[in-house]
Amino acid sequence: MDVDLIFKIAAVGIVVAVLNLLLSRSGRDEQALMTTIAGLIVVLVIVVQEISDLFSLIKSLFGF
Amino acid sequence: MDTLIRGAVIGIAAAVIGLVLKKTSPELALLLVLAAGIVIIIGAAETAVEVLSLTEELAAMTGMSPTLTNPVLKCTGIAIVSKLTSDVCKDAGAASAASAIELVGAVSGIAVSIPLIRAVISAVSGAF
Repeated sequence: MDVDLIFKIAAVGIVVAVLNLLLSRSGRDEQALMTTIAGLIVVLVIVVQEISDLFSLIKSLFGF
Repeated sequence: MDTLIRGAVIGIAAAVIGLVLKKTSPELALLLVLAAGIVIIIGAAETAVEVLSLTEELAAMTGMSPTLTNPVLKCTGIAIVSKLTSDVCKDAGAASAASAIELVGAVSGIAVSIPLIRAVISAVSGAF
């Protein structure tokens, strides 16, 4: 079971949260937003790969 | 049992970390919980293969043609996909998209069972 994936995503999430907080506190709101979006895109790329793996697994298991 | 315990632990850990992330970025929390669900299901693939091969053996023992027993299996797959994705949409607060997915899932289930229904109809009308 790919537990590392979960911790990778959690780590990205926490780093993005901390950076977001730092940047918005120092007044750079646009950069805070850009960091959030960048983190979101990174995680989305990983998750989309996993989703496609899941659907091909279900297709092969259930005979589609 | 091992698969189940690992899956349960991953699920709980992801839910708790998701709670932490929800305050600062709810979208990352959703992606995390979605990824956890996917990892749990993929991790249970081997156990599922054993169960499915048993059901295929039982289906072969009944002597019915595969056109009649395949729709049952396909409906199970359709149910899993539609339930999981609609629950993810509900997590994100998009209950309308969730209902749309479940609707399409029901329609696909019926569409896949069409040969089975036709066989039943012809058997019933042939008996009269």
